Amino acid sequence: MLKVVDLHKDFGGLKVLDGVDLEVERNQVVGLIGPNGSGKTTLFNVIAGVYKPTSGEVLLDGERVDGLKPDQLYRKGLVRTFQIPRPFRKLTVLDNLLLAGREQIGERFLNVFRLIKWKMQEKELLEKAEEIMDLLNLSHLSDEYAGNLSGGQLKLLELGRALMSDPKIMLLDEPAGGVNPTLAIRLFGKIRELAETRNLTFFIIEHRMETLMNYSDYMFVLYRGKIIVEGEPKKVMDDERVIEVYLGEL
Amino acid sequence: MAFPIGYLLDTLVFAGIFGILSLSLNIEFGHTGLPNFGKVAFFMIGAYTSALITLSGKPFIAGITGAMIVSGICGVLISLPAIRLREDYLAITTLAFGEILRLILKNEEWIAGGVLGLKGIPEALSLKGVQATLYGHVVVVYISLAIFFIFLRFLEKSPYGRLLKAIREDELAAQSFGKNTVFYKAQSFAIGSAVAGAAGSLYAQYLSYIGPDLFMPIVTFTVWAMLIIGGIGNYKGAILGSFIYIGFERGARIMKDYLHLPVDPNNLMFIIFGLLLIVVLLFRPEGVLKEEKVKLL
Repeated sequence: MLKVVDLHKDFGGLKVLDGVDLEVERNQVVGLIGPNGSGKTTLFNVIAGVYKPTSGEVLLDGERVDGLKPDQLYRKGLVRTFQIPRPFRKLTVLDNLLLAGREQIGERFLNVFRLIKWKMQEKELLEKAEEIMDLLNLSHLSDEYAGNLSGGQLKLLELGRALMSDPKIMLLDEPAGGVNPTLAIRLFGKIRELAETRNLTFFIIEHRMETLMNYSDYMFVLYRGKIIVEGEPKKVMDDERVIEVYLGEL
Repeated sequence: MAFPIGYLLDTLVFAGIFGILSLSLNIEFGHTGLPNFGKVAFFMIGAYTSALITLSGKPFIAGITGAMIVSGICGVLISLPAIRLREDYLAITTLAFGEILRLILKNEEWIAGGVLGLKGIPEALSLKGVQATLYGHVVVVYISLAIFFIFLRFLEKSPYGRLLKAIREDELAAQSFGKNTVFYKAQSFAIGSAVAGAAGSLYAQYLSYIGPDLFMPIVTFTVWAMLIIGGIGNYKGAILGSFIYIGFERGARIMKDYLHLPVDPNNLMFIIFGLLLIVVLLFRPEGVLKEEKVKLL
C-alpha cells in the first residue's frame, strides 16, 4: 500500500533521514517507534508532502507520490494527523469534522448559490460526523469551539477529522501523546477496531512502545534516520538493538 | 437653527461607503486571515475605473461593474507573489502597492488627470435639487451595502465560508484535508478587492471628483480601525465600526461650533479615537461585536 524506498532528507548538513526503506501493508496497523530525534515526524512530513525529500521515493499503491503537496496526497487517499493537534480553534467540533469531508460541492465559489445541491451533501456529511462523534465520545462537545477542548479531546478530534475523509491510509503522529493511559488504550482499541471493520490502514508513530505493541500488526524502529529493526511487535520488542537504542548499551 | 439634514445624509453616505470597505476587509482578514494593508489601492482602482467609465458616457451600473472586475483582477495579481508566503509579506506588498499606484496616478497625467484628478463624474441617480440628490445617494449606497452584506453573509453561512475560516485558523491543517489553500486565499482576496472597488465606485459618483490625495494610506488604516472596533470576523461589527468611526469624526466637527476647547476638535477626534482603539483592544480585543458561531444555511 505505502512503500518508501531509500528516502533521504537533509536540512543543511544535517541528515535527518538517511536511506529509509519500509512498506506498509493494506488493512494493517503499523507502528513506527524510535527515540526522540530519530526522524519519525520528519519521515511523516516527507510522506505527507510537507517536505520534499532530498532523494528517494514514496509510493502509494504503486504510484510515485513524493513531492506532491498535502492537498494532492489527500485526494489520493492519504491523510495525516499532527503530533501537536492543529484544530481549527474558532470552528466548532462539528465544523472541524465537516470541513474534513471530501469533495464538497459548497466549497466551490460558483456552487455556493446552488443551495439545494450542497445542502443535500451537507446532510450526508452531518450524519457521518455524528456517527464519528459517537464513536469517539465527542457528541456532547459538538457545538463547542475546538479551541476550548482538552489535550486528549483534541487528539480524538484529530482522529475524527482524519476519519471523516474516508482515507485509504492514515498517518497518525503520536495519537496518544499527552493523553492519559486509560484514554490511550481506548484510542488504540478504536484504531484496531476501525482497521478491522472499515478496512483502513494505519501507520502510527508512538512513543509508548508497550501500548502500541498490543495493537499493531507490524513495527519499524527508526534510529538516526535509518530503520534498524522491523517485524512483528513481539520480535521487535525483544530485539537487542531496540533495547540498546532505548536504554543504552547493556 | 434648522436641523442639518444635509450633514446627516452626507454622514450616512460616508458611513455606508466605508461600511462596504470594512466588509471587504472582513472577508480578507476577518475570515481568511489575509492582512491587506493596501485596502486603499483597490478602493482607488474602483473609483478611477468607475469614473473613467461613467465619464465616457456609460451608465453607473457599467461603472460599478467595471470597478469590481478591475479591482478584483488587480487583487489577484498583486496577491500572487505574496500569497504563498507568510501573512506579513502580503501586508507589506499590499501597503507598498497602494502607495506606488497612487504616486503613478499622481504623476502620470495621461492616465487620469494626474494631480488634478477627474472632475464632473456623473451621479448614479440624478435627481432635481440638492436634498433630493442626497437622498438618492443614501438610497444607492445603502442598497449596495445591503447587497454586499447579504452576499457576504451568504458566503459565510456556506461550506465555502467555513473553509475560509479554516484557512485562517490553520493553513497547513486545511491543506492536509485536501484544500487548495492558495487558490482560496486568492479568491478571497479577489472578492474583497472587488467589493472595495464597488465602494470606490460609489465614492467617486458621490463626490463627483476624485484625485490621488483622496487615497492616502490613512484610508487603509481607518478601515482597519473600523474593523478592529466593530469586531473582526463579524460582518455586522464591520458595519458598526464604520458608523462608530464616522460618527466620531463628524461629531467632532459639529462639536467645534459648540465647544470652545483649547484643542482643535478635528485633532481631538484623532486623540479620542486613538484612545477608543486602545480601550477596545485592552478590554474587548475581539471588538464590540464578537465573531459568532455560524450555523450554515
